[in-house]
Amino acid sequence: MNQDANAIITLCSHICVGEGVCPLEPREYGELARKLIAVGKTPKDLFFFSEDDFAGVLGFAPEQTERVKRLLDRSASLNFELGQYQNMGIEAVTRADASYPVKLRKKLGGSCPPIFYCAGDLSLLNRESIGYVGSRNISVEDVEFTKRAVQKTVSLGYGVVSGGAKGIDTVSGIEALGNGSFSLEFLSDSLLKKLKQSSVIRNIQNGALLLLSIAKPDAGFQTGMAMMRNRYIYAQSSGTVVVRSELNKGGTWAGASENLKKGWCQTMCWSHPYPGNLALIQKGAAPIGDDWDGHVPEAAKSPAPPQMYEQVSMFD
Amino acid sequence: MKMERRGVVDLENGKKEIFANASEIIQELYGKTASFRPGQYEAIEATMTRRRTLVVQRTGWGKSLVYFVCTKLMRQQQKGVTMVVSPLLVLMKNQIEAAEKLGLCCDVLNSTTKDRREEILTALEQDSLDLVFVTPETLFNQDVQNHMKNIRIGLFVIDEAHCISDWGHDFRLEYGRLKMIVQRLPPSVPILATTATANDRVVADLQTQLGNEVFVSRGPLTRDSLFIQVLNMPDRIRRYGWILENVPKLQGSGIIYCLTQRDCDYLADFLKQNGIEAAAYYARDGMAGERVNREIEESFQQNKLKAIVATIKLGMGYDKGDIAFVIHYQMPMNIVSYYQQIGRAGRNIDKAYVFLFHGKEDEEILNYFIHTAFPTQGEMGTIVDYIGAHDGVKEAQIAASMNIRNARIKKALSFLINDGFVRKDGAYYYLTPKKYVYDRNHYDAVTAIRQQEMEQMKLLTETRECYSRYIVSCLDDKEAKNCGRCANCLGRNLLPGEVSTEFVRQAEEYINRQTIPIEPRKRWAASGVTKASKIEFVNQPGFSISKYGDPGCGELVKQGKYSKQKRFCDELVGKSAQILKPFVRQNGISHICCVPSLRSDLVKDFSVRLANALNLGFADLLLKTEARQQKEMENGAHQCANAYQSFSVKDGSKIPRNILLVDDVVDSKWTLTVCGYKLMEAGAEKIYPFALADSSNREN
Repeated sequence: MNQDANAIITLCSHICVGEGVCPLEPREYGELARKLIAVGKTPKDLFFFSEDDFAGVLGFAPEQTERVKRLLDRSASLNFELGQYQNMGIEAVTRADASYPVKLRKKLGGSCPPIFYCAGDLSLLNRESIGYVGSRNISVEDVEFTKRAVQKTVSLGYGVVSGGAKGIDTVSGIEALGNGSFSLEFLSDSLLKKLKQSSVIRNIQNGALLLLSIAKPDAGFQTGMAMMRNRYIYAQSSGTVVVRSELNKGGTWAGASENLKKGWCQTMCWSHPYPGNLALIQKGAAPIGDDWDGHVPEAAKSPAPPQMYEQVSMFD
Repeated sequence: MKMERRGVVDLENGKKEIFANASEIIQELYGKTASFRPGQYEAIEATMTRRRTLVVQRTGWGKSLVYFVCTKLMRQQQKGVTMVVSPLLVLMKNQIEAAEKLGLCCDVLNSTTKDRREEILTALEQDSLDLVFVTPETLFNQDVQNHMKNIRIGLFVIDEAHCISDWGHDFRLEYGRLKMIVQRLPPSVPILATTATANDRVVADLQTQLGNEVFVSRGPLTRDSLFIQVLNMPDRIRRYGWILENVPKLQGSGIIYCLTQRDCDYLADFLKQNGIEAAAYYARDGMAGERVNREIEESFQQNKLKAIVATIKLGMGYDKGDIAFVIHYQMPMNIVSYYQQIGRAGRNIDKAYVFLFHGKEDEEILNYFIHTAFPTQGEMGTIVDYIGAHDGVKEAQIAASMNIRNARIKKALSFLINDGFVRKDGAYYYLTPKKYVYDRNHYDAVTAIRQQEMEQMKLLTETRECYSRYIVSCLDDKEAKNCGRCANCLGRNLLPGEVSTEFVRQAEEYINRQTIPIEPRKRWAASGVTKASKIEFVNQPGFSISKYGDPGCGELVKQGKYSKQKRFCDELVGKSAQILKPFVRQNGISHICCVPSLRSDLVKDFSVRLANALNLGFADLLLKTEARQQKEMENGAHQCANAYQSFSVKDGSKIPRNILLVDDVVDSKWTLTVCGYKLMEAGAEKIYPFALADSSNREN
């Protein structure tokens, strides 16, 4: 067991949150990590910190010390629950683990979540994939376009990365798997619920499907999560295809707009006359039509990925 | 450099402080002159500093004092509660008293305190308990796990830690889940693992699991109070006779260990009928079963029983200081369990007598246990395929879809869950992302070791060297010396090895008139043909007169079934008639009907002769249509469906009121249940089942 990972989980996990326990948010954890680096320590050292150490070494105020101590006190109980999940095939991967999604770490830097819960082969994250996003309510036309697009990108060796939801997500994932490729899904709800489907289990066992979520494994759908995972899809992919977007509203619109601003990857948009799609193309998304060959077009004027973040430590 | 030196000094000062505080604690408890036994303080210091500790010390060495003192010290440092995982059976009264003397507030979480569970869990959440004993089954219960998030654990103790090692003699699946927890726990939570029964191989395995930094405390295992004798006893009659003759000669009360539940029931009944206070003790199902066991534990604790006749269910964690004798009715599986079982005796008394019976049949039973310990590749594979083809299945669906015995399905499922291939959510089973593989090499290796261990056990029965020394040297205690007390050291028997004729006669008489009840089934098994619902027409209680293949009648039944002339001997007719005579009169039975067979007239022939001997009418009422043999059906759903489709009542039959329904061998009881049902449906009032032999497996 990697005890730095264990410490990160203990500090940040929303699993096993008892009374008075308040896990660190990504930003808070980021601050703590920087303080630890500055004094040459790693997260596991916190297990042995005395009250004085928190104040003396990290400059914690008493209430901060109290909060972190309460979090560390739950480590045994927390590990019971994680152990149960592990036995169900769900792992927790932290920023202290080598298998943490490296592309997210590079592109999202400090705003990367400290923990992902996942089921499947994490090495799929190292392969190239194309993101597919779109609304849940789709037409036959949308489905046909998505299938053709996926067939083309798959034939070029790409996998699919999606949000694992109904609609475009499911269509693109199934198409990739059906064509012998792989599918990455950043879920916004319960991993455990998804793992009740025998086809899901089969695809994971065959090494073709990887599920990831920042929500604890038994959580329900949360809108906030749904927004967050858009970032992960863009950051993980070599380019993301917007099949269908509403105009000025909805998760697809918000996610694509954010990516156009941040430039985590090339935004491609189906040149269908949906108002949302047209507007995204207007804002700089690369239009792709029915004749698209599957290659990610060179970014014309999209800003270069910001190098604001420099990797300083395995656990940061 | 500077930092490091400061660390070393801190550590040394810390140790001095631990020693001072620990000594103070025991002196407060036992008086100013009290000191630790060799090894105890070292284990305390290791737990308090090195944080992973393994204690392998004999029963009675004082392992619990180590964690009591550690708890006291840790609570002084405002650490969380101590959680002791132990397969304990009864409230560990003495232990809790000792802990309370130290000012520790303790409680127990197991099935016996189920009604107080919420209260105990709340106390744990409020940090008002210092120490809690918990069984692994209860620990992993959902209601306990739900509270875990509010519980601060300061020290984690694994009692009887050898159960974690599947190389050990007594691997328990529930303990298997602890393994993962142990590997996950952060170094800030110290782990103390204790056992009295681990050989080098198990110690090495535990060391790996606890991490290589583990501190091991290991001491001599010889027990000075045990007087051991080994007796060759070829059959049941002589074993019964010897016990009846010799148990009254022994002071105090003791345990008689048997390999199967059935043996416990019979032997306890035999002793009771002959004026010796005894009770059978084994894993009983449900709340009612637990209540029975608790009552037995209590009356044994209060010395109201001379002997408790038990399977290995009575073992670890059982704490009664004045057990004066342990008799092994059959040879146990290996030396380690033998050491542990005899270790129950003579804890707080100077002398305790230990007798081991052995004979040929023991080996057959043990071989059966060894070779059925793991689910087969076929069983596991079939179940995994079935679950994988569905989005969630219930156990009853699994049983209905495959011809595998329910107990085997349950076993395979618990292995699959433990190994992380299957998970259970509510009543439904699902596959997990972990790809199923059958770990044949591992199972084969463990089976081979168990076989070797049985050989080692057999050598104990043959050895002429000191028994005690032989036993502890098998546990890798190399320092052992001759005990000077066992039958081999003394060169004479402690009690006579032969049984007097009088007692042989009493045993023989009992065994010959023994019957095995046939309890009526009350619900159908769920299958394609029947639904899991109440049976409308239920049989009366009946019985069989032997255990299939057992010496005496059981042997005669086996001979009759496989004889060339396909005939049961007259002795069986005579014996049956003798036992049935009062039963038939009492219940107003007028006719005998037999379970029909397509293959032979064996049962019919016997039934006709029995009817003559009892002066009853013979009514040939039933027809058999399908020819699939009931014994090919492995579980209830299949047996029930097969029987249901196979039997019918002949058209136009005149149905008598009270009927004795006869079969040769009873196993699942589905044949008798269905035949009885159809006869009652056709107009009979009461059906009394009778069989020559019972072949059902009621193993441990």
